[in-house]
Amino acid sequence: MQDITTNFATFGNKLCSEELSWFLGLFDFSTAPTLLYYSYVPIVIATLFIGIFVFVNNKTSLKSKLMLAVAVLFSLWVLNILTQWVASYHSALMFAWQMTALIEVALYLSVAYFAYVFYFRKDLPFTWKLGFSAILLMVLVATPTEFNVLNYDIYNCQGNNGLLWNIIYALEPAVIVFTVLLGILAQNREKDHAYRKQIRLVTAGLAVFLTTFFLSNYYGELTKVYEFNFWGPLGMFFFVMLLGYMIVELKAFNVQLLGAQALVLGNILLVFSEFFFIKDTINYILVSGTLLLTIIFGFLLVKSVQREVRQRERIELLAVDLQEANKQQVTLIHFITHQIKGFVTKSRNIFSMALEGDFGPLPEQLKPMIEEGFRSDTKGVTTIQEILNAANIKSGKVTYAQAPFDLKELVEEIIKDLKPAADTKSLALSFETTGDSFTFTGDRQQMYNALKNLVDNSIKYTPSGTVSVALAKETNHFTFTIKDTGIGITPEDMAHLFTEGGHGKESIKVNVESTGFGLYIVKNIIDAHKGKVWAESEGAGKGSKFVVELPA
Amino acid sequence: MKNILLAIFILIVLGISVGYTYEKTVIKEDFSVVNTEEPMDMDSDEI
Repeated sequence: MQDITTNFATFGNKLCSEELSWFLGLFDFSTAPTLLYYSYVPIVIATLFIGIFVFVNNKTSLKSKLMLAVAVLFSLWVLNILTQWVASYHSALMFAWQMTALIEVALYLSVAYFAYVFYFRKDLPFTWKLGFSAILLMVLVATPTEFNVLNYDIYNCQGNNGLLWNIIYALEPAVIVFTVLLGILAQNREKDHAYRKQIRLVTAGLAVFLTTFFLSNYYGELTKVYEFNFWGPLGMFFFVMLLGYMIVELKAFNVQLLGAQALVLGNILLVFSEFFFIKDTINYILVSGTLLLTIIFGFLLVKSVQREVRQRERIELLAVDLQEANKQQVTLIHFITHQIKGFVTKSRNIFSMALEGDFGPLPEQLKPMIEEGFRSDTKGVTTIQEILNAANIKSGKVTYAQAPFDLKELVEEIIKDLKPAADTKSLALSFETTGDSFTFTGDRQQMYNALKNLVDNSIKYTPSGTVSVALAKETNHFTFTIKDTGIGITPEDMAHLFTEGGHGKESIKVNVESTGFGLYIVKNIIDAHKGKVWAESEGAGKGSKFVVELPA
Repeated sequence: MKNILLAIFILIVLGISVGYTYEKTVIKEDFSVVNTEEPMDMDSDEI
């Protein structure tokens, strides 16, 4: 039969444990099972470390502040439980027992708050904050009352929970369900694929942590076998490791080194905690050796991760600068070429008008100069247009029309346009076809530019001999081939042929006006039409062959 | 501003609650107790 007295103050024996309170006159560490220290202490230190580190690296972020709050509340909870195991005086134990409800509810609410901020990347609405505060205030008011802890069991040195705990054990699973549902909702709404992955991981981590925490506490309370509580914090261990992975791999908190440091520290603490329950000398020596090796290799690992992280950060910064510089360069090129193209076009028009007699008959000695001016300005406009096209292609501003046209007719037009240039150099320009229908769907003007560029190149880089153009219709593709007896292409030049500004060393001697963008533009146009273009040559002075394949 | 006021209010209530609990349990030792005597072992042969 239970003997109830209302006032513990009148009770004689104030000490709980049979041993004297040997630590600071308040605690007796021998009463607690050694597994308690092994499961609680390293996890608390790792959790606090992550929480503080995340906060210190990003003090303004609400996410970081809440992560720190969760870490601190979890640590307080563990400290409170530890106190209940090792405190020597009944009154201290009763105080710790009464504090449990407050710390536990605050922990669950702060986890829910953290989850919301993490998922939706914004603060909780004020009405929700009022709701959470109302729950917390209810627990705060109930804390010193019998609603929280009904009475204290002197013999077993533990409190008997009151009716408040029925509410708490209903609230905690509700928070778990709420957090998971919120995570699913956030994942469905989130457009960023990488962040969706982070949401999934945090939801899983929090669910495991809160569920193991709740089940171990609830089952411990149900059976009064409080050793079950030891398994609860292992859920936090899982959550902390998950955070470490997210921080290192996914940069969830913009903290780089944390995963490696937390891993090393966790390992060191786990090994160190073995000292709490080693009994013999040989084990002491073995564990000391393991600890020393863990510290040395841990230090080396952290240093190498630090180096790699710094290098990566430098590269990322350079990449950002490069992107910015590229953007500025493209804008500048556009501006300059548009302006210059305007001036050169005006000048060409004036020469053209002069040649057509708009200003009256030209003196004979002036005519060659005017003709040369007109030719030079025409080349200028073409060159500037080429640079503009390359800049537009690079910045992705070119769009291609899709309409059917006859490829054979297109090539015949190109041959007709370039025949005068070939005749000037006494080159034999020929064209033959194989197959019947040459209907192709694409951008006629752009395809004209690309194929004309290739034929024009062959003419320019062939001092004498032949330029043979062929168009064949195969089963599922067209093949356009240009073979010449020109200067050929060295293996060194072949590598840079279709690149932006890719001049060949020999080619620039033959064509000093080359911009280096022609073949780059050709490749982009052919690629945009899902085709392939490549060059073949046996070397310098041995001619070249350019092949274009287009899907039929 | 609302957030700050709410936080201050909660902190005040927290301080009062924790302080009162501490005073009640540690300082005044004013709480109900049970099992003040060691329970009898029902399986024991002793009478």
